[in-house]
Order: sequence, then C-alpha cells, then structure tokens
Amino acid sequence: MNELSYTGLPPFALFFIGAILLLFLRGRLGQTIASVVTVALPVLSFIDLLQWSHGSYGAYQLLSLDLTLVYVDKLSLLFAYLFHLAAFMGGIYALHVKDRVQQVAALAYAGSAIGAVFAGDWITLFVFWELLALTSVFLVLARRTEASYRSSMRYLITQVLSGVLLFSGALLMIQQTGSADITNLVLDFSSFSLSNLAVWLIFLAYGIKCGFPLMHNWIIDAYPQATSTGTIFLIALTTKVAVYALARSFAGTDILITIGLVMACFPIFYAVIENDLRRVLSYSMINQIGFMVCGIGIGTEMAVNGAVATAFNHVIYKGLLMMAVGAVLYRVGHVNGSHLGGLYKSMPKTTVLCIVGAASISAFPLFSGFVSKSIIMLEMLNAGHKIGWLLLLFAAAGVFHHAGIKIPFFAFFAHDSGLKVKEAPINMLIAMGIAAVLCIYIGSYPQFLYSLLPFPIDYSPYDMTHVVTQLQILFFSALAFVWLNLKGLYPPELLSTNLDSDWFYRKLFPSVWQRAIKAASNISYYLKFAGTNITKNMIKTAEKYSHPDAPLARSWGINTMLLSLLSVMIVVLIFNYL
Amino acid sequence: MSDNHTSSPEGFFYQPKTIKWILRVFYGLCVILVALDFIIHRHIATPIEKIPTFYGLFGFISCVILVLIANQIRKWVMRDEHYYAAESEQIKNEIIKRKAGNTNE
Repeated sequence: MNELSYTGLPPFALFFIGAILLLFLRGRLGQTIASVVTVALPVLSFIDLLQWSHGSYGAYQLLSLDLTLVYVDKLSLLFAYLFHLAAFMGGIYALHVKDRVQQVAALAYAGSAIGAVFAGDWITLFVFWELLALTSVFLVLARRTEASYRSSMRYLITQVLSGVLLFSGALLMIQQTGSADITNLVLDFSSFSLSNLAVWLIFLAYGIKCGFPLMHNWIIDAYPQATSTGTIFLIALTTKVAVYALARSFAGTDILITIGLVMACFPIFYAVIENDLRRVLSYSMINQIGFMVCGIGIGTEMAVNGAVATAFNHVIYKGLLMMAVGAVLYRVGHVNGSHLGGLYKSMPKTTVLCIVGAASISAFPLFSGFVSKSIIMLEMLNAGHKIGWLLLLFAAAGVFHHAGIKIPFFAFFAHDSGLKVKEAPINMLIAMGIAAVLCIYIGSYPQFLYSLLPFPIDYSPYDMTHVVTQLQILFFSALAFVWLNLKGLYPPELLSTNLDSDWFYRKLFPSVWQRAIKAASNISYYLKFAGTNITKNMIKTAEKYSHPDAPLARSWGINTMLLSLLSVMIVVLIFNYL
Repeated sequence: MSDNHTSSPEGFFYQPKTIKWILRVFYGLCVILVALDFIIHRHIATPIEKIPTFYGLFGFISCVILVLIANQIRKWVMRDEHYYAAESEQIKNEIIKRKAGNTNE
C-alpha cells in the first residue's frame, strides 16, 4: 500500500483489526486488554497516519471499474486526524464501560468514518457509508431500553435509505461518466437528465446524513437515546463525514447557503424549549452544522476553510459538552433540565469543564469557537449575503443562549434539585480535560488549526473590532437571559415531547396507514357481507320456487310443455331468417 | 432566578448576596462594553453596523425575540412526555389483547 507507513495497511485497517480482536477476548484479562486497546489503538493508528503523504493509494478493480481505496489530501487528512482524536477521547471517556458490544461498535465505527473520508471513489465511499450506519446503530441499541430499540430501528432505516440513495446515484453516475472517481458535482435545477438525477441522488444521500431540514430528525431521535458514552462517538463521526463529503463534491453550490441558514436558525427555537439536555445539544449540533453547510455553500477557499475549521472545533467542544452532560446522565440517571440543578456542589470539576465547552461553542475570545465561526460569517458578508449574515449573527446569539447558558445553568445551577451524587469518574474527567485543553489551546493559538486547513489562510481573529463586537453580542445575549428570567418570561423546563418533523412518520403516516387498513377491512367486510347476502337470497329464491308446490317443482301438463317447445322453436326460426 | 425562595438553599451560588454581586459585576461589564463601542474605532463592513452598539442591541433583541417566539412555538408543538410512548403502549396492549383472543379460540 504505502511504503511510508509503518504497518503498510490502509489508515482505517487498524480499527477493524482491533474490533475483530476484541470480539475474541474473554475473561478478566481480556477485559483489561480490550480497555487498553480502545485507547491505545487510535494513538497507534494516528502515528501510522502521520507517515502518509498526499496521493492515491490502493488502486483495485471491481467488475472492471478502477477504484481507489485511499485518497490522501489535506482535506481528507484533517478529517482523519479529527476522527482519530474523537476515537481517542471517546475511548478514554468510555474506559469504565465493560460492555463489549459498545467497544467493538465504537472501534469499527471510527474505522468506517476514517475509511469514508479516504475513499477515492463512489463505491468505496458507499461501503463505508453503510458501515457507518451498521456499526453506529449498536451504540444506540446498547442502551437496551424499549425506547432506544425503537429509536435505533428508525435510525437504521434513515441511514440505510441514505446509503441506498448514494448507491443509486453512484451507479447512475458511473454509467453516465464511465468513471467511479469522486469529483466535484454541479446541481442543475433546469434540466432533467440521467446524470443530473445521479447528482441529485448523491446530494440527497449526503443531505440525510448531514441533517438537512426535514431530514434532520434522526439526530434528535437517536442521539439522546444512545448510551452516555456512545453519544460521544455518534456526535463526532456520522454528520462530519457528511460535511466532508459535501465539502469534497458540492463546494460553491448556492442552495447550500439557504439550507445552511435554515439549519442554523430553526433548531435554536426548539433548543430553548427542550427539556432533555442531550436533545438540546442535538438541536445545537444541527445549528452548528448549519454554519458549516453555509461555508461550503459560499464555496470560496476561505469559506471552505471556515467550514472545515468549525467542523474540527465543533467535534471537540460539542464532544466536551456532551461528555459533561453524559457524566450527569451517568451519575444522576437522567438529563431532564426540569429535575436537575445545583449539581455544581457535587460535580464541581464537571461543572468547570462544561463551562469551558459552553464558552467554546459560544465563541468567547480565547476559546476555540471564536477562531473558526467568524471566518464563515466574514465570508458570508464578503459574498454579499447581508440577510444571510444577519441570520448567522442571530444563530450565533442563539447558540450562546441555549448551549452556552442553558446547558450549564440548568444542569449545574438554577434551582437546587437537592441531588447528591459523586463527581464524574476519573477517566471521564481526563477525557473532558483533554477536550477542554484543546478548546483553549486552539482558541489561543489558532495557527495550529489554520496550518491543517485545506487551503492557505491569511486571517487573524484577534483584532479589537472582532473581540469587542463578539463580547457585546455575548454579554447582551446573556443580559437578555437574565432579564427574561427575572421577568419570569423564560420558558420553564417542563417534562414534555416537542413535535418535530418526526411527527409525520411516527404519528401521521402510521395513523393514515391504520385508517387505510381499517377502511380496507371495512370495505372487505361489506363486500363479504353483500356477497353472502346475495348468495343467501339466491338460495332462498331457488328454494322458494322449488319446494313441492312451487312453480318449478309442479308437474307440467302436456299442453304447457308443447306450448313452451313451440315458442322456443319459433324463436329459433325467427333468428334463422334474420 | 434562584433567589425567589424565601429560604435560599445552601451553597455559595445560592446566597442572595453572591447573586447580587455576580449580577453587579455582570452589569458593570455590559456598561464597559457599551462605553468601549464609543472609544475604539470599529471596522465597518455594512451600513447597519454604524448604529452605536449594534452588536449589543442585536444580541439582546434577537435573544428576547428568540425566547418569545419559542414560547409561542411551545403552544403549538408541546405534547405530553409520553406522547409517542403512549402510542407504542397502545399497540402493545392491542397485541396482547389479540394474543389473548387467539388463545381463547
């Protein structure tokens, strides 16, 4: 494969080898080895990855198609680094988990994500695309509750649907162009042709995985149902693979700006009224992906840089927030804002780490969000989309409101719930600590991240205007929160279900289906009823005319018989002459 | 906020005094940020940014609007906690009933 790498294996291979190895480990010693593998493997694989240089590797043929197993450039490398980091942090965070299903699934899931970003052709991408779905679903299933089972099945259906769309699009694309290489694609709204259909199918497949509006509900549905440790892997991988795929093929597609703006704005309303804090973070994730999709839609080198940098930071700070909320879930057993509060007393370290994550996602100066989000907003303005810029500004204020304030406030402060729990386990604290250090490091020393970006970048986030304006937005958003709270206008946390687009397939379609079945069974009942009645009546009539005195059973006289015979013969005669 | 209770719960952040001081410092920082807006020279890319303390106003107003709209949305979309679970419960009961019916037959 690549003579430069130590193992000579493709970059994702170690993860799959590790996952298979874990399947066969037994006993206490086996458990210890399994735990070590989940943390050490991402490190080993990362060291191996550092040896890779740009280019195509591992060409192979399938049904006379030329396929490329590994395509390395700056974009794919950045995402691969990110996924290694996510697997490493997730591994430490989940170190106390003895559930082999989750350990195997997490490793194979990370391997699939890495395989997907390195895929050089549509077929290879499709294989890893489906593997992402099949491996990640176990992280939801592993919660082992009725709700998580149902949710995981809905998740699987959505993900496999995305895979099927991708595969159809890929086959059509290969048939039309003769090449399987992943290329830049152009969406055409005006013409209808097979190659355009292929582009649309691929776009939709990416859209589902990316959480486009109305296709987003699997995120809200499945992620809060996963195990406290499984969610950390989930939020880092699937959607980021989709962002990568969009950046690779659809950079500069105008409609993505609109889609991104909708994604950035609508979830914040839901996040404000949602009670389940992991669900709040899932809505917040769609909002963040909205920023990235906007960046990709603008499509300039700088904007794509901004989108990719946001994706990188997002995995770390959203991971940190999700880890903090996951620690609460682990200790308290639920994450309903309505029944939390005052936890800073029993979980002070988690509280501080959560606040670092909150500051990073809200883009406070010196925290990582500050150095990436503004690139997209600046490019939005440079591209002349003033309304878009204002909407992003609104979304940025909203992020601070629901993720920056709401999460730490309702979990750790607010009204004292009287909960007395232990501080998060040490491994969770270490994982959160690593994420927090990275948030501050990247925020204070952005050049580290900028040097990894796919295009050269000449941008300095730290100037007086940016710092002051950003602080103004944040402080006055916080002021709004304080004022609304003091006035009693802030929506209280309530145990509830909020209807979203999943209502269509969880409520409307099933009820329409049930009604249709009912109607069909009614119709069939009436038809049967009518049928039996008609037959019954016929039998009755026949009976009526055939009992001993009835006309049919009466013995006929010779005259009557001759008369009838004659009439028949006359009729035949007449017909003969016609 | 949390100081509505007559007897405030234990803990540093629940003391009315602490809350008062946190809010004072916070209001003070807000005032400083407004003052800075008039002292430093901001780079301006769009005419709308010329409004004094545009970013502060925008942040405050958009958050208030966000919450007010969210409150309205809540009236439309909020359902019982077991809204979807009730459905599955109903299906389960029906299946149980059907099974019971079959065994009777």
